[in-house]
Amino acid sequence: MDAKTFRPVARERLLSAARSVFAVAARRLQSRFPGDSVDAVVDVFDALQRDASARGLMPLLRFWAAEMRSLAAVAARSSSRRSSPTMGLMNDLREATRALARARGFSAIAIATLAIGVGGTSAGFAIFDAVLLRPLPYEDADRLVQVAEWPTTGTGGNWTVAPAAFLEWRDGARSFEQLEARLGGSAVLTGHDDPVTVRVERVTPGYFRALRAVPIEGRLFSDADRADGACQAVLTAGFRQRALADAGRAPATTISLDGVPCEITGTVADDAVVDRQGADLFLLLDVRALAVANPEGRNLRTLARLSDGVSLQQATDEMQSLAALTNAARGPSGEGWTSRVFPLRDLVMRADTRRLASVSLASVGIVLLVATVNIAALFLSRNVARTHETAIRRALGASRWRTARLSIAEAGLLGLAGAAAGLVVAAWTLEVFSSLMPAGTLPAQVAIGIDWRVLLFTAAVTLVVSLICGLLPAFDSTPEAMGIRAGGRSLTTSRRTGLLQHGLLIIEVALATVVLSSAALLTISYQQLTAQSPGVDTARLQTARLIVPGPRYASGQATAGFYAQVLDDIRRSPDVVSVGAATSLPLEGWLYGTRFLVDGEATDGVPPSAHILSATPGYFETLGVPLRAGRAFDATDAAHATPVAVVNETLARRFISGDAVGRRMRLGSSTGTLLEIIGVVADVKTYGLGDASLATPEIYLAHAQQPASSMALVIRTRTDDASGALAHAREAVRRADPLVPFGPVIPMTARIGASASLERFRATMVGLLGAVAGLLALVGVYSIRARQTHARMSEFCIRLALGSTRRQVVALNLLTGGRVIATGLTIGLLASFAATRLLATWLYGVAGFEGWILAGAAAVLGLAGMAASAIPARRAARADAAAVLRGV
Amino acid sequence: MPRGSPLTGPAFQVLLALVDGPRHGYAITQEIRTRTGGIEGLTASTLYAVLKRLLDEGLITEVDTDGTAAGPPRRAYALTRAGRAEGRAEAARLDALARLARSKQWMPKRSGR
Repeated sequence: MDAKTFRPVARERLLSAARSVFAVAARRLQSRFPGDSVDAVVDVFDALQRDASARGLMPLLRFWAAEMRSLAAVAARSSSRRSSPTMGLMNDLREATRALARARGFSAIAIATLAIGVGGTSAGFAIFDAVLLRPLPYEDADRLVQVAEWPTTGTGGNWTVAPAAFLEWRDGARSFEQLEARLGGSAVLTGHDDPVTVRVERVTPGYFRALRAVPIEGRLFSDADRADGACQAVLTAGFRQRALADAGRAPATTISLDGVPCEITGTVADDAVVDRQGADLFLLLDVRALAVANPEGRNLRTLARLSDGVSLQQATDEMQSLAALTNAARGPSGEGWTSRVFPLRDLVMRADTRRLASVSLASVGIVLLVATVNIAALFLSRNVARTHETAIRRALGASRWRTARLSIAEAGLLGLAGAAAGLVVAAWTLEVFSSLMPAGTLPAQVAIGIDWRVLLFTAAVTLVVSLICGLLPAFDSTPEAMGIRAGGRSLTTSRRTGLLQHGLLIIEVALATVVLSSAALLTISYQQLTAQSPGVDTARLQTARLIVPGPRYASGQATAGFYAQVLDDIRRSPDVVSVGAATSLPLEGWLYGTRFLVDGEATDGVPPSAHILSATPGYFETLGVPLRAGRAFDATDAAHATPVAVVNETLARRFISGDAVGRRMRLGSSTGTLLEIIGVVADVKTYGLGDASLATPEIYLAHAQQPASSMALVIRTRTDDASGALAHAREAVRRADPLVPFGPVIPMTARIGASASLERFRATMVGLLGAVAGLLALVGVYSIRARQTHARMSEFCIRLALGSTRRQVVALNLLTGGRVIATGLTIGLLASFAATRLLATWLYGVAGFEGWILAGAAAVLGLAGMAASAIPARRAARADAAAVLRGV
Repeated sequence: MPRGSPLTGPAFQVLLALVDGPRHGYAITQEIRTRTGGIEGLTASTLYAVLKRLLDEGLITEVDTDGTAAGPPRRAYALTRAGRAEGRAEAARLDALARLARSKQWMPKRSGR
């Protein structure tokens, strides 16, 4: 990694953190520098580290290491000249520095392991903190809520409210300082070379005041603004920068939306958009006009600010009794509905995002534990190797505490270096994380980076890890008797050391098993998911969304006419096999719902509900959705012909007894349009590849009879090269209306890939962590077993001398290692079953054989572990017995 | 007045950096870096520890430079007479050592660096 890929913000924070740390150290050594020059020392340090960081990351790390050595050297000189309470500490540090410098391999492995553990955990914490702990970036954010109508039965609502209900609530509710409505949508921005579609959030005038948002420039909407007046727009800063500055001219004061000129009143920060769909600009929302046009359509979302001293529960109670009152007066459309109040946080940080953050922290936490165990084991082994030295010190009168201090000082120094390197690892991990993460996984309100909270966390984690590693050998120190006897040689290590080392190995293997088996589960889930068929034939299938601007296409006839002309034109292209359009494509999950009644079918109370879409002739043929009965739409299903519908298999099977074709159904209530069912088509996946079990009833209407302004085109091309067909399609749209944007072209295969991108991300993330944990565990197994074998070398040589075969020595060694690994695997597997519950909602298609996957992952780890312990075992068997026994 | 004991490497480098006139801390490190082609650099703590020692021994002195548009006045360091003498003595000592090394054919060839 070089300086360019190292994120500037993260680097800046890192540098300023290093500066602060250095300043603290420099102040302690004030007397070693010319009078009052500490600030100058710190400034020069800062300038030098910036020079180094401009050359790249490695030069920066080298510079820090050099500066740490100099500080230690300066400190050592200063302490040797005066006697102070810190002298002992300085001596320890100096001694530890020397000892670590001698044991380069040990130091390098310990620092690298620490860096991975601490760095990964800090990155995990940065994500966890941003998603779960830090308040949203609004003033008094915990008082921001959204209110929604919620069905009394079933699993969940749509977070929406009907205009009629909203107006009643706004007049009646006392719990809120403000209750505002918002409605997402899109508009066509013209006036540039090509018309483009922009995402629009229509809001009531008080919206920005409720958020306490301040304008970046100009002014925001205020209560004095009237939604039925002239068009006004507030742009998000990101959109203004993208769209208007790109044009290379002074910011415009008006823009043309759907052919209507709109005055730009101001600019606001991107995070003023609370909706996860995002928005480019804000327009005013006229709830009263909506309430006249479609009073019962549940399509509004809300933003409310709780009044002072009102709790979420109080607001919920009030809203539920208010909803009961208003719903009773609304007739059938209010039946079965109540109201709920949610913290805004639940909207911004979806449950899935929160789970992602928790799982990230949990898995990197496990990696940290594995790393800690590894380092602790390294320290133990080092301590054993030093038995002789320690014994002599003790014999000369050093206290147990005095000998332990050295290992604590070593752990402290290693911790410092590990934490510094860990911060770099954390910055890098966050970068990898953000680049792997599919767009939109985290909301705009979440800024993930290394800030002082993360630094504090890193410091705390490092302190704990260093203490554990430094203190553990102190509990193990029992060299009084064994060290000096027989010239410091003993046949084996102490029983206590062996137990400690085995305990550490077991923990390590168990933890690695948990992460690895979770990774295996997620990976196999992802493969199962992508192996699913979306219900359409994806070969040579292109999609593009068209939106006709509302005002000029006010009549359904004009809209239907436009689409009919475009489709006819495209169909004439020699490169096109077939073409069609629908309001929503498979996997897009972007649907309206309706209640319906089939004539002659009994319902128990509330009519059943279904998704509803409009589709053109040619849509099912183009997608390759099989027709199960009757016919698909054709040109005879014109605006004034008999209203017709095509239903999906699930609807026909669940709600119609006998043959569906020819039956009649009504949408909405018993007074709704009467439709004749002309065909039944196969189910397609609506929300994602994984939703087979929740196939929803769907009703398709003929687009000519139920025109919609926004339609997704599907075009099956004759050859793999779609450019000719797409150029023709683009031209066809321009011919029909030059002001209609031709949306981005997305191949159907890409849509399918994108629908599983989150699953892929999770599998990759946990997979990477699993690989790191597994690797650390193997390193641990190898290093502990190598030390243990080395310590028992004399014993093995005696065995060989007494007639054991080399094969028997290898077997003895493997048996010891195998027992420990098997214990670790068993504990790890038990813990994995518990972890599977945490992952349950992320798993797909592995039900029933999770156990096999877990066992498989454990088996792989077990084999690798045995291989790692076989290396020292073979070495033991090849030892030159004479040399070992002579003590050479 | 020569001290009789050799200067440390960093101390000699710092004295050399001040030959052309007073410099402040960062400029000293830059001078050393450029002169040695980036091979030798001083860390901040080493630099100021050396400066303190040289000040204590009277080989350098502090001078205040005027503040520029770019920043406040910074403290710079300049050679004293004693410092110049000490530097020259050290250079002569090193030169004698180098000649000795050359006579024993210990010097590297001069091609490249």
